[in-house]
Amino acid sequence: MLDEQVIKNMHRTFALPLLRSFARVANWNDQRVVDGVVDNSAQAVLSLGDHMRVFMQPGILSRYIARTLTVLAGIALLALYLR
Amino acid sequence: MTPLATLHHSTLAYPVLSLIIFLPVIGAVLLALIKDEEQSRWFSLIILTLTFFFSLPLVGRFQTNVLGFQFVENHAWITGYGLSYLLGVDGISLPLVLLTTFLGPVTVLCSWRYITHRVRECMACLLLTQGILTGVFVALDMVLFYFFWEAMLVPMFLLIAIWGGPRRKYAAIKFVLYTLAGSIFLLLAIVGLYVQAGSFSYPVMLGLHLSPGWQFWIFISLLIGFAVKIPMVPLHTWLPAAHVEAPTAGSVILASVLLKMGTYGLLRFNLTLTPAASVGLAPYIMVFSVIAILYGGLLSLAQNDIKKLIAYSSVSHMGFVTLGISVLNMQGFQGAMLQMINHGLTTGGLFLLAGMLYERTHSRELSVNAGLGRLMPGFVFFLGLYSLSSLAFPGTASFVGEFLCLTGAFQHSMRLGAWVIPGALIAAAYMFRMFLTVTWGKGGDSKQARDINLREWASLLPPALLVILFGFYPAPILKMMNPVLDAIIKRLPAEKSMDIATLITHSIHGFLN
Repeated sequence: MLDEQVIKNMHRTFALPLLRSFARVANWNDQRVVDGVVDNSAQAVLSLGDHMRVFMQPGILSRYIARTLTVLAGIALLALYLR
Repeated sequence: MTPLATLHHSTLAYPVLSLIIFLPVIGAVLLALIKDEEQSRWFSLIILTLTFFFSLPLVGRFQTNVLGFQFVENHAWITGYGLSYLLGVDGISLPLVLLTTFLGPVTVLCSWRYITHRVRECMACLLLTQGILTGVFVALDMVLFYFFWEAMLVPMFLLIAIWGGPRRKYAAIKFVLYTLAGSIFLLLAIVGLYVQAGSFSYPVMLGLHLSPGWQFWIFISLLIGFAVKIPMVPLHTWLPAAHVEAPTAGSVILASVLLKMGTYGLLRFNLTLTPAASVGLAPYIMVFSVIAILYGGLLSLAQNDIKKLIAYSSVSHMGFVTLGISVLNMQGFQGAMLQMINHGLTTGGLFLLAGMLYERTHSRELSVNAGLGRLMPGFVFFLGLYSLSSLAFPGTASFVGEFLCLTGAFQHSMRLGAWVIPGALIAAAYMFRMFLTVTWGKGGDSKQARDINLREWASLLPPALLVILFGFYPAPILKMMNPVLDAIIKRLPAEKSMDIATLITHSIHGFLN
């Protein structure tokens, strides 16, 4: 009878809190680390896309012209080099 | 030709496999003609019940002593590229086909009152999902398989994104992006196999003797594709999000059938097409399986959202399936196959119950639903049964599967088996926590308690009967799958012919030369 009570108390005092602590750590790790990597990667790709969009489509005519001329100059240089 | 690749044409007068794929698909199209919501529910239920009944002759006419594919339908598709409309079932795909058709009507029943807007469109998605999922399990042409594999994303995405919870868009996009990322590797493997075989036909590919380098890369590519779907830790984080946000029918489909696509793929393609690599890399899958069992169990224990708890328990249970596959012995394979079927029935049932609670209290939190069970005896009966089955209590279906997986693990090595045992104990902890809180907990909103009605009984009872039946008498499924599993084992090299370092070296040599 006494042994049964001791086991019951040990179970309540040590085993269950320990298991719950492990579970909480695992849950934190899953949400912050494992899923964090996934969500942050997705966020980084979104952010990169947004930056690229702003860079590629600035909406300023002079920049479009400058870039077009740069590309054309690059093609011309490449053509000269290949000749 | 290997006996596994033998094609036996259908003994039925009609193309049964095409019928069970396309009847729901045609039904989904015909729903466009039905304007009334109630009629669309009844129509979908009738179509999916008919589909289930049409799939029953597969069991009656299936020859368990014959190796190879049965009920084969073979028609040329794009001859120039060796593509064909090739369908067939064997002992490992037939149980999964039956599970899919069996759960079809259940998904409609559980959506009856849960879905209140765009009912017709929801029913169309359910019908499409059913047809496509069946296609995944019966396709024997790799392109056809890949088509069904990818096509499944569309109705599932819509189910989550339109009829899901508050964060449905996040969950739906995560689900699709994750799965698509994995599918790219699957596609790479299929192309690699085509390059070697000159055909997309799986039976033709079974005749391949790939070099170790090819085997290594194809195994890895296939594994990544399937691991996302299973899901294996650490590629599992789409699952809780999708489960929590999906409507009940979506969760049932996800847990019961969709996850099995991954483990089916491992068993069907990895082990048979890349046997040497399978033997070489199996220990790594074992490690990830043990992590999934323990980690998934702990995660489940930490949840207060009932659906999330069940979702993480799926990660743990699917860990048992991958463990059974990776130990590469008969007990492990049998356990893995049984666990697939039993997990489909049990977790499907648990998600049905979680949905029923949500319909009453509009919350999935354990604290809100605490103690409701005292006032809902019918509900508690099923919750008790499915919870016991989920923790693999003797006499329920999951016990047999999990026991065989454990036996396989112990047969492989005592140390491996010892690592898995705590997983079974954690399962008891999280399942009892949920069951005891919902049944006898305090603080819940008891005004919302309303016992299950006839429709809910109709959706819960059939899987429950199978849970009990397979718990005591799993022999019919085992008889169906044993010859195929035995043949798969015979294809595997008796010993680890190559270690991982040699496999990588071979593959790098292959690339350089």
